Parts: sequence; structure tokens; C-alpha cells
Amino acid sequence: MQPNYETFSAADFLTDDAFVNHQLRPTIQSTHFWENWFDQHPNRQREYQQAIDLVTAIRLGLDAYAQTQLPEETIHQLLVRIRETNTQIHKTVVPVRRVAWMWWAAAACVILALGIGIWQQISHQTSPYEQQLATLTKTVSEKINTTQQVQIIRLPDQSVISLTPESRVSYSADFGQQNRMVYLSGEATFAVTRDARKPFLVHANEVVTKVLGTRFTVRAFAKENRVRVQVQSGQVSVYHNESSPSTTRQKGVMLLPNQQVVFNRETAQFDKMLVEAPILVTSPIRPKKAPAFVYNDTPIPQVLQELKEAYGIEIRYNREALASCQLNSSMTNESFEQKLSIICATVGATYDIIDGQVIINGGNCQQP
Amino acid sequence: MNEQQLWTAFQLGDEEAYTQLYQLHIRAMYRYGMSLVAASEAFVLDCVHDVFTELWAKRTKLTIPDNIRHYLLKALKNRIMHLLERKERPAKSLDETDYEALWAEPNDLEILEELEAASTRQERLQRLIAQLPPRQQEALKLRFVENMDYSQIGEVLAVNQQSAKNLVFRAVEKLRSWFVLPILTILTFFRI
Repeated sequence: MQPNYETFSAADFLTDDAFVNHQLRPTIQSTHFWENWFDQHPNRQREYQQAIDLVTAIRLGLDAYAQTQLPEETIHQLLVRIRETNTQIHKTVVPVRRVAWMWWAAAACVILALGIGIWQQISHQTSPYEQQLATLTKTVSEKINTTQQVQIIRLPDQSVISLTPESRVSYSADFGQQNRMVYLSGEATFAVTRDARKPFLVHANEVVTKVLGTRFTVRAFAKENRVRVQVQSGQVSVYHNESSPSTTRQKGVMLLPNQQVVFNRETAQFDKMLVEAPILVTSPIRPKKAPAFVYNDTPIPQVLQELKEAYGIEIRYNREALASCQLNSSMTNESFEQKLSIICATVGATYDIIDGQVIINGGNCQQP
Repeated sequence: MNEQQLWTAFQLGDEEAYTQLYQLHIRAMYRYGMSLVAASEAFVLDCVHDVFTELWAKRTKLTIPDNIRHYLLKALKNRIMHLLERKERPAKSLDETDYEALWAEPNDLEILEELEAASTRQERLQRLIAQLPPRQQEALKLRFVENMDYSQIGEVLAVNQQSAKNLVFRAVEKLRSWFVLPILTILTFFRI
């Protein structure tokens, strides 16, 4: 029976299957019906049009839901798993005729399951990641990257995780309410939304990385005996998770851009250094264009100052000895270490990288 | 082959047809399952696994559903709810209708904050829909994305057809009242 569309409000149309079906999947008949109806009821055109707008708005609002992505790889793996289960059912369940036989089968299954359980206990020591998850009381969201590419994960606070293949992250259902806690096994880069009231903490093996808002990478695979944290921008502190961040007994390590720390899991030692290839950093406080690194009779202290700001790396040198030195060079495309080598060659100095800082030893200049 | 024919072939033991049905519906099952329990992807995938293996085991005893998508989503929800109830019995004393009544309706200020935080129309709509009670959201998803009719939605939500319509009606009215909010505030702003 056709409802009385004469009295329909816009919202009423949305509770009518015939109307919604036509909006989602119009057929020749439905198009014919509604065009006819529209012509015959000019006084209902406003409600009808509003109803169409509402359907469009709701569909747009649900678009993110409709577009929920499931990687092909996961679809395939699940199918393989389903097929495996099906073949097992085929083997064990189909020939069952007598009930007694089934009981034996059930008993065998239980024993087998127990066996597998025990075997897994023995062969598989639980990783720090699994232990940490087990202590959580709230429900946990876990993302596992089973694909071959880096996977992008957006957290409720709009922070973004780039998850490397074979890595997994978890966070509790109440993420962001009191604190922002993430558990990592594997490697991931974090671009963290700034929120000074809620520090962002990454637990990875025995190491905790604490930040307020920045971009950094943590590498902590359960099977590797080192944990590495690299900073691209901002400032992070890294500490061993057996000591809380407030205790001074085991001090954490403070990292600035282009610095990294490697944690040795056997000796529980931190080793702070520069990343292999420092990159230019942009400071959120003073956003400015990267310098060209082209110098004509430029005093060395000025060059070093520019280098220090561009890479965010501390450079220590003897200010008096190099005060009157000048540089003539174009180093636009050279790497950080190449630039340092050119400067040192000019003034006859050498450099060391110690504890994430550059130390320039010696050097002086012959007066022209 | 249409879906009904695929289903018949699958019942006769055609693995190819079974795989095709899986491929046709896995994405919808995943997104619907994740919208019910966002907490664990692994759990949802386990439930999808259970639904499909059970289909295979019982294939000779099944009838042909009118709407296969509806049949599978309903089976998935049953599976999820079954496992959740078993796991969380002490914590889950409220049934779903009680939960609905306890849902704190956001006030106008909260809605305006949500609207301000969004930069695009799509994001604004998404944020508004997220403010609705969970069952209204679920009804909207089933009607406007999964394209189920109201009697099928009623079956999934374990209510009658009229109640399913009421859920959508209330959601639509609420959304409409929120759409006009920013206009209202601009008006009052100018009056002052």
C-alpha cells in the first residue's frame, strides 16, 4: 500500500523505503513513479527537495564510513584462514556418524589445543609489547601493518603514525582523555599534535619516549636488541621504563632535531648521537627559508651560526681563534658533514661529533 | 551469475562461488563490524572468519536469503554480540535500550564547538552524525550506506519496522536542528 505522501514532511520521506531506494539506486520504474508524483504534487516540492538534500547530506557525512579501507592483503589472508578452517571441518566433521566417535574427536581436539598452547608458551617468550598490553584494563585498538607499504594511522587527537611493515601499535579506548599513550612493536614515525597538557608517550620495548608535539621515529622490534629514537623536529625525552620520568636515579636523554639515541637492551645504556644524515629543520617559532649556504668572504662564526640554526645542531669551537677567518664557498647541495669538512679544511681544523654535538678542534687563519 | 545463483552454487559446494560471495561482502562486513566494536580489528576479522566458516559447514541446510548483504551483516552482528556477552558479562548489565536512554544529548555549545573544529562540509556532517546516539548512527549506516530496508534494519537491531523508522526519523530531525544552529548564532550576533 502506498503511504500518504500528501502529508509527508522531509524527514518522513527518509523513513520511506521506496523514496530512499530511489535515491540510492534508481530504477526505470522508480524514476518513472517519482517524476510522475513530482508533477502531480507541485505543493510538496519543497519537502521533496529538502528530503533529497538530507539524503545527500547524510550520505556525505557517512562517506568516511562507506570508504572504510581494508587492505587487499588482509582480505586475502582472511580468505586463506577461512579456507584452512573449512578443510579441517571437512576432514573431521563430515565423516561423523556415531556420537561416541565425536566425543573422542572432541577430546582429541582439546588435548591438541592444550598441546599447542603449551608449545606456544615454551617456544614463544612474551615480548615487552605483549606484557604491556596485558596490563591495560580498557579495551585496546590495535593496528597491525601486514602489508608491504608504510601504513598511515590517524589518532583521535589528529596525530599521525606512519607504521612500517611488520609493525604494530596499540592504544587504549580512552586515548587522549587523560594522557596520550601508545604502545609500539616495530618501527613507526610519529607526527604529534601539540597538546602541552597531555604528554604523548610511546612505549617501545623497555624505552619510553615522551613528547609534547613533534615529529620523530621509534624503532623497536622485539627481536632486535637495540631501540632507536630519532627526532626530526621539536624536542623529546627518552627514558628507560623501569624508572619513572621524575626520578633522577636513571636520567633520561633529551633529544633535539637531528639527534638520535640508541638504547642497548642488554646493558640498558643510552648512546646519544647525531642521525646519519642530518636534515634541515624548520622551527615552528621562527619559520624561515633555508639559507642558500653561499659565502663570499663571510666570517666563519657567521657561517657556523647559520649551520647551527639550519640543522638545529650545536656546534662548539674556539671563537677567538676563528673570529677573523672567512669562507668563500658555495655549499648548497652538500650534506651537513660535507659542509663541516669544507669549513674545517679552510681553517685547518678537525671535527668530532660527541654526544649529539659537533666539536671543532684547532684551526686558525693566515692573514691575507 | 547473480548473487542468488552464486548462493545456490555455493550451497552445492562450489568454492569459487563461495569466494565470490566473500569478495562481494567482506568490505561491508568489515566496516559494519568495526563500527560496532572499533576497539579491535583482529576481533572483527575473527568474527567474519567464524561467519564464513559456519556458512560453509552448514551450507546444505541453509535457505536462500532475499538480501545476502543483510543476511551476512545480521550473522556478523550476532556473532560479535555473542562473543562480547560471553566475555564481558559482569560489566554489561545494561541492555541496549537502557544505554540509549542514558545517552547524554550534546548541548548547543558542544555542537557549535564540533562545527567549528571541522574545516569542510563533509567533516562537519561527519562530526554531527557522530554526536547522535549509537543506535541512531547504526540505523543511518544500514539504511543509507548498506541500503537495507526498514524491516531488515529492524531485524538487525532486534526491533520492529516502525521502531527502526523512528530511529532514523529522530536522527534526521536532530541533524536538521543542528544544521540551522550556526545560522541562528550569526543572527543573534548581529542583533547584539
